[in-house]
Amino acid sequence: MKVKRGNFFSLLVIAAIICSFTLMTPAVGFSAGKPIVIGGSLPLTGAYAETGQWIEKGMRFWADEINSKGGMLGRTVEFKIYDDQSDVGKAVTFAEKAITVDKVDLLFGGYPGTAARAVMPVAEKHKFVYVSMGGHMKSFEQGYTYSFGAPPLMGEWWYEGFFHWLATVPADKRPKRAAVYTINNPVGLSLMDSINRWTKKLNIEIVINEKYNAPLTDATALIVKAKQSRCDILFANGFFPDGVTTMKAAKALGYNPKAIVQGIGSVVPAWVKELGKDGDYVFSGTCLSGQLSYPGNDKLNAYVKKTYNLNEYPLYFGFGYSWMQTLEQAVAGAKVLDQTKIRDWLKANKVNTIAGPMTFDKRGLPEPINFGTQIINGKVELISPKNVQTKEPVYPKPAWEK
Amino acid sequence: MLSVENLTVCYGQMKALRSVSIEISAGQMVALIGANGSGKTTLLNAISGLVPIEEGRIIWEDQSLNGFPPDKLCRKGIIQVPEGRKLFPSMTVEENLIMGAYHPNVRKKAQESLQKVFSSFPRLADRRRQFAGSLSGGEQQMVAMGRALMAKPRLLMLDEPSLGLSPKAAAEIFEIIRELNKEGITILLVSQEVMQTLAITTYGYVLENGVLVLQGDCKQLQEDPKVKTSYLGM
Amino acid sequence: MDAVLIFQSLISGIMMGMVYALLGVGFSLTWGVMHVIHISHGAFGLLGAYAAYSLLQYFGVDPIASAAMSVPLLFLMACGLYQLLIRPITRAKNIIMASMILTFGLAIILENIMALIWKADPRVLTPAYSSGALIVGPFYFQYPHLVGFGLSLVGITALYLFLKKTYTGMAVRAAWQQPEAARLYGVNLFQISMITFALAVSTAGAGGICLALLNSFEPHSHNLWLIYLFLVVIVGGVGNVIGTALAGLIIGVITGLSMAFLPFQWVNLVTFGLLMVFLIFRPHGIFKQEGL
Repeated sequence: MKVKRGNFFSLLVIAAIICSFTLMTPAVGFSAGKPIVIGGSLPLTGAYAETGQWIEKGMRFWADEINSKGGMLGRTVEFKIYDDQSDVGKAVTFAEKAITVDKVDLLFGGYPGTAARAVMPVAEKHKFVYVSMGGHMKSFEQGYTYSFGAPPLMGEWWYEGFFHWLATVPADKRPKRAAVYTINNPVGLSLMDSINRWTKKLNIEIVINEKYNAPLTDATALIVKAKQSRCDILFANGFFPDGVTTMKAAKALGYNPKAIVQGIGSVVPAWVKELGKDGDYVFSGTCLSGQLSYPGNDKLNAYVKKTYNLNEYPLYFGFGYSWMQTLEQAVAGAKVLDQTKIRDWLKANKVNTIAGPMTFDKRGLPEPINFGTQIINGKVELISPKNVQTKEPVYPKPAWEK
Repeated sequence: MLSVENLTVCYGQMKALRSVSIEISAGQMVALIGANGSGKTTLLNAISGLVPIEEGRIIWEDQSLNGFPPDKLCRKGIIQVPEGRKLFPSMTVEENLIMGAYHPNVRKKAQESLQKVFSSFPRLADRRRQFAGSLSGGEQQMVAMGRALMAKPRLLMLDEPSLGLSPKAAAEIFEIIRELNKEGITILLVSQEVMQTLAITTYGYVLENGVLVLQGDCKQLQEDPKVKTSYLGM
Repeated sequence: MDAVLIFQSLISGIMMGMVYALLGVGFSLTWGVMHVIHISHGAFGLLGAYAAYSLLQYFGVDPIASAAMSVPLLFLMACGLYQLLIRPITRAKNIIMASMILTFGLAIILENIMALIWKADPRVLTPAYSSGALIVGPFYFQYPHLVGFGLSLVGITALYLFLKKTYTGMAVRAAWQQPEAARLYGVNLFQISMITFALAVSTAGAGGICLALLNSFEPHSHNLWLIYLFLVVIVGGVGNVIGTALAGLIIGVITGLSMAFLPFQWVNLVTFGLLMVFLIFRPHGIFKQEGL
């Protein structure tokens, strides 16, 4: 049989057609009436489904709570949530639709960073307050006045907490040579910001600095290079799949640096659950944690314990809740559902969230919020700053168990 | 042994065969001649069960074969050597032959049959590990016939066995066919080599545009003026 | 250039390439023999991976044993599926197109079922040896790679011997090369197609388990795996078992070498560039001659 060259391309064409035909149906349909309707889209299916679904749960927890207290401005609140299927283009369309067609009263923030960044101009155009996680600095440097990060998920700040702690380690005990492997996308590359600033400050030489494209199917060469260059700190700036591949190779090849710092992958609950002991001692950062002592965290933890049997609320559950907290306080402060008044209130006042109190600058950003974390005995512990520390960090990292 | 009664076969709207009847008795060597597109191959394929029958009956030893799928039919000993040989080109000579003994009735005796085929066609034994697609036309025809013999045919239908062969190779093939008939295999031979065919067969049918126009003793047919002008170029 | 790096990189590249080959060999076979481009092939591999995950999690069954068990189970399941879905479309005028559309839909259904059962979050298959290595001098042979490589060799060899030495296997090849003649000598094409399809799906299961030993997986990972499938089939030649194995080897060597010599961000470009080169210059794969 002769292979027809067209086959491969026809496959791509079909895939494209079927994808574009997929129905755009709202996940939940409420009719607008007396209640305050808060609309927008979340990735409830597709690549970011896992996180999107947790955000929704956090938002709904907030809504149930406020409705039981009599609602906002005396009106109950309702959501109109569209499923953008993890597609940035759809997120933009749904934001537009929520504002112009559904005429929602308020907009809620979206995920992931790429979608949040793309929705910001839509919110700005229609003068709608948009509280989201941003994803990286560029999202907030577009000059928009209606966008806020409360708290934002900022790649540029991700390792701040870790480095603050590392600076407290005596200079002679600190690592000297760094291997930095970064996934080649905006979120991954944004992690370089704090690495560049801090390694200079702490006199750590970046011996290897390489990017890779997903999928990373094998990390053998990465680890061999780091090992041979005697790098004693490994920055694995990646997501879950490449993060796992890198950790497995590091263990298999007996690579034992003083510290392994992992970007975004180790934040996902699956990291601890799936890797078990092999996922231990990895440093990272966070901007939210159920272990923080700010008001509200205990309540959220109790809820997820009861409902999902989790010891601590997942990061994205907290995000969903925190955005809503911010919006709630701004509406209460402005006393009307006027977007510009809500915005002006946010620019001038302090909000109290589960991530702590924050005030917003011109860009809509609070002061850098980051807590250093380390996974110890299968649990994400806060190690920095000192006032929130839940456990003394384990350093240098013990050798792999065989 | 085999009788075909008023057989009609259609390809879409076109009638490829119209009410054709033939009769073959055991041990006979029968010729089927006719021009290109006269329906010879269609008749063989209808008997083999490859093409559906519109009207008429095919009877094999008092049993109707209508609607029998080809893979069941070969178990009865009705074996076709198709036109163009249709070997399995990327399989070796030996594998092609072994495939002839695929159906369960003959599979157990495959090794024995293989030795027999190799002794009848020593050239194939030398080439047993070669891909069938790499052989010469004459050798390929031998493989095709060897494969058919592996299936232990009682009625062997050969479709244009000498097509594309050198005169020497063609003569060799016809000689082998005569030998097989002597060993007791009933033969239905389709060929455009009318002279050679009629020389070795005993009875003949002439097809024209899907219709049977002539039949008779081969000696008689050779003398027939119509056959002479149309097929023998005299 | 450092010899240890090159050797280490080549070793893991080749072993991984062989896993792609095991995953892809069935895809190649259904395409070659039945003219069915089985888009859900990778999804069945993923199903194997999830099954192995649960078996390890709840019953402590080693993935190697799961791979062995998945073969007969998937075989039976695929037989049913063939009768139900694939057989009806073999009458279609353009089987290749019809099969692609049908199995694309099947892949989506399977993905959704897997997301329902195992949830959307990523999984990692972690038997005790999942991140260990056999150390020989300065060289590390990672156990997941060794297991994947070993199972792939066993799987592909078994498939090769089946096609080469058994009557049924020969019938599969005969049906592919010359379906009409195969029928004349007693081959039931539907039966052979069903066996081919079922065998292909069961090797996918084993291949999926091997791949899960190397990388984490999620319900939509099969989309990514599909790219590897096309890669080995295009390089190895459609329907060619030995070609598929060699393709795995070639892809492994090329990935391994580019990992050692090039900046990492070039590696995927080189690997998938290979696919394009083959599509343009050698659409029939590495071998001139069709065959096993």
